[in-house]
Amino acid sequence: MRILRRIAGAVTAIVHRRSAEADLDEEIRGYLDVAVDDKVAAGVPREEAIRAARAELGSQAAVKDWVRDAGWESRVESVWQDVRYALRTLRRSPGFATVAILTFALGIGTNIAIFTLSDGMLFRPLPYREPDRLVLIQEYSIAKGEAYSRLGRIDFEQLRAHHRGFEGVATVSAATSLTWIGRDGAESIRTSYGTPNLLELLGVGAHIGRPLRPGDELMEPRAAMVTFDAWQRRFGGDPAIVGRTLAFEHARVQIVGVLPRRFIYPVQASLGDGDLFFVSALDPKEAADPRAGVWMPVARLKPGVSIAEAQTETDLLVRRAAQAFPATAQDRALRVANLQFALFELSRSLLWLLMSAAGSVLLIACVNLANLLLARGTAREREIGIRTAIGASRARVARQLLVESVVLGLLAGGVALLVTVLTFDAVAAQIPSRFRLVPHGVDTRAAAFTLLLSVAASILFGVLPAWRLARSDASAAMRETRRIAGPRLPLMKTGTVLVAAQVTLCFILLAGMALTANSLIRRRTIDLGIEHKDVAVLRYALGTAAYRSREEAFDFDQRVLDEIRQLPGVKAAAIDFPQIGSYAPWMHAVADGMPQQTGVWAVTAGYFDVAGIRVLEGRDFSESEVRADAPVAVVSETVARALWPGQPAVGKTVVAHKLPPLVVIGVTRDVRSGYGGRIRPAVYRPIARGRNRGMSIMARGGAGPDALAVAMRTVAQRLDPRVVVPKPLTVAETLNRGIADSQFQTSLFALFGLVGLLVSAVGIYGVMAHWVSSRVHELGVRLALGADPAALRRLVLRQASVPLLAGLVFGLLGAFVVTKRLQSLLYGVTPNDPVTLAAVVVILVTVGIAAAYAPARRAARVDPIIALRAE
Amino acid sequence: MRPLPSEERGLVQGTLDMLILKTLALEPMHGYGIGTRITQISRGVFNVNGGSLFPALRRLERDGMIEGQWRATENNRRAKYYSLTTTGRAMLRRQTKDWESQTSAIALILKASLGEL
Repeated sequence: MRILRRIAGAVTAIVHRRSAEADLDEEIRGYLDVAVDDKVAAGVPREEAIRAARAELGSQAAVKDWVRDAGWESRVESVWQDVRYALRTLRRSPGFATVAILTFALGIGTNIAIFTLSDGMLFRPLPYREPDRLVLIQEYSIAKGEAYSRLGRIDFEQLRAHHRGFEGVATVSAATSLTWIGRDGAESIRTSYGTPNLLELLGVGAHIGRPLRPGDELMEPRAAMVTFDAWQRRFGGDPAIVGRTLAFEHARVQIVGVLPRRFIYPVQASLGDGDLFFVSALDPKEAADPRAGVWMPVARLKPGVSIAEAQTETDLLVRRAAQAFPATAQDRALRVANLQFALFELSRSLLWLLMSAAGSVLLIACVNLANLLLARGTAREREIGIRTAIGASRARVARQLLVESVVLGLLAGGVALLVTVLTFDAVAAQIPSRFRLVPHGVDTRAAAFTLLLSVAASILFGVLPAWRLARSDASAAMRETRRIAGPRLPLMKTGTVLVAAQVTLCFILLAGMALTANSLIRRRTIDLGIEHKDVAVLRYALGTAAYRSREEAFDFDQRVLDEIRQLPGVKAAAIDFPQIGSYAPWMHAVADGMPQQTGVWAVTAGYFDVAGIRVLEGRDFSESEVRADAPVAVVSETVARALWPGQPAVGKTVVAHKLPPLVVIGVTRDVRSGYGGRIRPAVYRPIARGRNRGMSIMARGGAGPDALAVAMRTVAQRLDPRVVVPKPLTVAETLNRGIADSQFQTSLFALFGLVGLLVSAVGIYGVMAHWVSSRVHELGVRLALGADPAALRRLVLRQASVPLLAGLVFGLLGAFVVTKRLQSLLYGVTPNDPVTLAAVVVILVTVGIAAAYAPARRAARVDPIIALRAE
Repeated sequence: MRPLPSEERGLVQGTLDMLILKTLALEPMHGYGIGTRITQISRGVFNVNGGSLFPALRRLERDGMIEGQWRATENNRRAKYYSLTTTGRAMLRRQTKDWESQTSAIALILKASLGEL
C-alpha cells in the first residue's frame, strides 16, 4: 500500500511538476514572510529582519533542489537532464563524438551481424513443432572416430520398425531435377524428396494449401509442394497455384500447397533451395541391402522418452542389425542427439570463433572509448573540479559521466543498427547455405540485442573513467598551474595500460585473421595441375526420353563439340566427368600398386592442351586413337611413380580391375580436386561412343570466357531446343565456389581484424595526441631552451611504443594459446606459424607508430611563443 | 545526491521526521512555526532551518504522514499549515516507542560500570 502511494505520489509529482513548483515557491515565500514578521515582532528593524531570514534559509534555489531530491522522480528528471547535458557536450566536440561513435558503432555492428547469424542456429527454437523432441541420428565409426552424413539402410529400417521410443523416423533423399519447357526455352526445376512422413514428423504445415502427408507418394498426378521462394519467383505468389497441375517433360505434377517461408530441411539445408518438394517412399528393394544408405535421419521422441533411453534402445537395435549382416562395419554406432544441439555442433567451432572474434572487436572498441573518455576527462578536470567545488557529490559527477557514456553507446548502437538494416540483404547473400536458419532481416530480437549490448558495453567502458575522474581533486584541478604539469601520472598510466590491453586483443584477432588469410592464400595458390582457369565448361543433361541410348546422347555431344570447335579462335575438347570442383569420378582403377582412389577419366584428343595439363612424358591421344577407342592410356605422374618407380612409364601396360589392358603413351601432371583439395591420381583413356554417356565440353579462346560461354550455350540450344543448358561456368568460377565457405570465414575474420586494427589505431592516436596537447606548455619550454625537435618527436614515439610493445608481448602469448582453436580452419599453416605472427607484429608496429606519428610531429612543431602565451 | 545542509547532521539520522511529527501532533503548524517550535522546545539545542525542513516536509507529505492546507496566519499571511494524518499518528507512536526503547538501552550501556556486571 505504502509503495503504491509513493509511486502515485511520484507520478503526481512529475505530472503536476509545474504546480508543485509554484506551490513550493509560495510556501518558501510564506516561510520568509512569517520569519520576517517574527523577527520584526521581536524588535528587529524590517530591513535587517528580511536579510537575516534570507540568510537563515540559505539559497532558495538550493532549497528547492533539496526538496526535489527528496523523491525518486527527481532522479528520473535529473538523469534526463544529464542526458541533455551529455548531448550538448558531445555536440560541442564533434570530432571526439564522431570518432567515438563510429569506432564504437563498428564494434557493435560486427556483433549484431554475428548475433543475427548465430541467433537462428543457437537461440531461436527451430521452426518445427515441439523441436525439443526431435533428434538427429548420426553414424559413427568407433574404431576410426569418424562421423558420417549417411547411415546404413538396414539400420534405418531397424529403427523405423522396432524402436519403441520413436514416434517416427524420417529422412530426405538427394535432390534431382525436372525439365520444364517454359516460354524462354527449357529450364531445369530443382526438386527434393523426403520420406512420406517427413513434414508430419517435423510438424511443418503449409503456407497455403496443405502439407504433404503419407499416402501422397501414391497420388497420380504426383503431389508436390512449392517452396516459398519458388512460389514468389516463378508464380508471382499467386494463391491459385494450389490445385494446379503442371506438365513436365516426363511427368505431371499437382501442386497441393506452398511450404512455409522459413522451412528448411534440418540437415541438408540446400534441399530447401529447391523449387518443388515431393514425398516418396524409400525403395523397398533396398530395405535389406547392406550397401544401401540414407541421409542422416531425424526422429521424434515419444512424449516422456529421454534421449538416453532412446540411445540405449538404438544401441541394441544397431547391434542386432550388425549381427544379422556380418559383412557390415561392426564398429559402427548411431548417436541420438537433440536436433538443435547436433546442428549447432556441426558448425560449433566456426560460430565459437566468430563470436569470440566479434566479442574481442567490441572489447577493443570499449577499451578504446574508455581511453578516449579518460583522455578527454583530464581536459575536463577543471569542469569537474568546479562542479565538485560548488557542491556536486562524487557519485553525482560519476553518474553524469556514466550517463554520457551510455548516451554515446546508444548513439553508436543506433548507427550500427541502421547500417545493419541497410546492408543486411547484401551481406546475407554472401552467407553460405548452411546458415540458412538466419532470420529474414533485422528483427526486434536483433534490435533488443543491440540495445542491451550498447548499454552494457557503454557501462563497461564508462565505469573506469567515471570512477577515475570523479575522484579528481577539486582544489588541484582549480589551480591554474595544473595545466602545465600535464595529466597526472595515474591517468596517463591507466591510458597506457588500456592501450596495451587493446594492442593485446588486436594482436590475437589479427593473428586469427592472418592465419585464415594465409590458409586461403595457400589454398588458392596451390598448384592445381591445370593452367587454364578461364576454360569454360559446358555440361547439360540429356533427357532419357529423347535420347534413349548412350550412342544417341554421344552423337549429340559430339555434334555440339564439333560446332564449338568451328567457332573462330576456339580450342575445345571433352571429358566424361569434370575433374575439378566435383565429386570423385564414376569409375576407379583398382589394381595392386595402384594409388588409392585412382579415377578413370575418358577424354577426347586435345583435352590436356585445352585444360593446360602439361604432358611430362610421351604424348597426348591422337584423333584416330580416340575415334578407334584404341587400348591406350595416359596416366598422371602419381600413378606412374607408384606403378613404375624410377622407370619411364611410356610403353608399360596398365592392368586394372574392369579395365582392358592399356598401353601407356604419356604421363601428365597431377590434377587436384580443387583449391586445397587433394591430388586425384588419374588414368585417362579415349572417350568412346557406347561406353560413355555425357560429356563436359571445355573450351577456351574466342572473345573471352563470358562471350564463349554464351556462344557454347547457343550452339547446344540450337541443336536441340528441348535440352536444358545451364550457363557454362569457367574453371575459375567452379574453383571459387569450392572455397566459398573458407572465403566467407576469411572475409569475416579480415573484416573483424581490420575493424580491430582501425579502432586500436584510433586509440593509440587519441592517447598520444592528448598527451602532446596536454604538455604543449612543457614542450614549448623545452624548445625555447633549445631542445632538438627531432628529439621531442622521438620522445613521443618512445612514449607510444611502451604500451605497443607490452601489447605485442601479451598478444603473442595470447595468440599461442588461442589460435590452437583455429586448427580445423587452417590449411598448410600451423596455428603458431612464425611467418604469419611476424607479419602481424610488423602490421601492428607499423600502424601503431603511424598512429603516434602525427602527435609526435605536432610535438616537434610546437611554437614556443604560442605555447607559453597560452598560459 | 547533493550533501544535505549541515544542521541536519547535528540530529541523529531520521529523528527530524519524528520531531516534526511530534510538533504537529500538538497542533497544525506551518513550516516556519515547526522550525521555531522545535528550537523552542529543545531550548535551542536543535536549530532546524528551511533547507532541511522543506525536504522533510515534502517527504512526509508524499508518504501520507502529514497533509498540507493553505490558511492565513495571525498576521494575515498565506502559509501552508501541516497536520498529522492517521497514518502519521500511528507512525509517530511507533517511532516514539522505538526511540524510547533504544535510548533507554543506550543509556543503560553508557551508565554501566564493572560492578553491575
